[in-house]
Amino acid sequence: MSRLATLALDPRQLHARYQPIVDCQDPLTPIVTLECLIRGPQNTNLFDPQVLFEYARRKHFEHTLDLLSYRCFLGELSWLCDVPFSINLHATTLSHDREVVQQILDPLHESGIAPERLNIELIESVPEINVNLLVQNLNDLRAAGVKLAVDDFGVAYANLHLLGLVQPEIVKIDRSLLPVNGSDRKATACFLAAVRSARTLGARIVAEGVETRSQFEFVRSLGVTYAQGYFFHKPLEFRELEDRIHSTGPAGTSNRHLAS
Amino acid sequence: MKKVLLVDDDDAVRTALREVLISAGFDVTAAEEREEAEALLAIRSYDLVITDLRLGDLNGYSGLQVLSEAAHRIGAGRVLAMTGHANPLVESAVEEVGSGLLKKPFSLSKCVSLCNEMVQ
Repeated sequence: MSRLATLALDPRQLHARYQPIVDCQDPLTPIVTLECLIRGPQNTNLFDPQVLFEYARRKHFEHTLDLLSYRCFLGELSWLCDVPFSINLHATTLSHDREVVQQILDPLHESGIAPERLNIELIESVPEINVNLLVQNLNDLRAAGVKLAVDDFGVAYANLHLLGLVQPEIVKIDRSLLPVNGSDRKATACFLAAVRSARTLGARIVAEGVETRSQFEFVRSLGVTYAQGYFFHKPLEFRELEDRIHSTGPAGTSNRHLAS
Repeated sequence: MKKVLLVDDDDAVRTALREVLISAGFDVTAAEEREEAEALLAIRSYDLVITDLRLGDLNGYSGLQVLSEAAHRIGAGRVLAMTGHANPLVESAVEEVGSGLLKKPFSLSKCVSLCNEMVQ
């Protein structure tokens, strides 16, 4: 194995970050849930998560990296009580084999984390997956109490077909569909179409990549359930997250600027 | 500032080339293996790609795949191959991609002037 691949698969070289997700109708309660994000080895090109996972895909260890990252998150999140969190798993990981279900549930039990706290965000990066195995595994995870989300909805392979297969509780609309401003009619129409598709299935919606007040007001006006983005919070290191939660509580606030 | 992706598995060569290209005003990303370079090409955009043809493979020329991927993404006129093991077969493969070829050893100043020409 190459030097770089060895580094990428060393859990000590992986860095967890946590991005709070807020309730659009009550944004002063910022930490409704968290998205767990991973960064690769520092001072390498793999620190960028997009490059890290593209590299892993090309080296055929996306599945291993997904599960390693998951264990990194659990190691830290077991210290936080009750806050729900979401992790990203590739469809290739969730359709890798039947063992993946236990590889997800066992560490949860070992960490003393209730499955109901876990929300799996499914990332569909390649078209060639074993759909039957994927659906079977997702059904088992859901039966254990885990919630399911479709990530990056509206781009690449995260499409209507995937929504139908997964029947997710949550749909995360990709940041690229969020209009920069309300006067962009075409972008607004695309975003509305994505919202309608998600609602048809009864899913709650997360708007990704909210960076400005006008974007926040736009998604709130549409009745979108949750939002995440730099307007509210950058991804935080665990210590920063802990400080924020302990100083305010999960339903406390550090977003007073939203009230104005 | 023009963005350059520099790919070489030899730490000493990669470091020296990186330093000289930065001094010449390029924004340089250095990569040491094929899949790393391909991942970078898939995610980011570059004005110029320079790659060694042997990347950790003693008998193969996996750099040719980087070369081909880069030529596909940014155009053959913006990719440059380096090798210390030139032979007619390799030269013909590089020619087929349409990129330039720098045979090692070469002077760093020659490399910089070639890079400047290619990004004009």
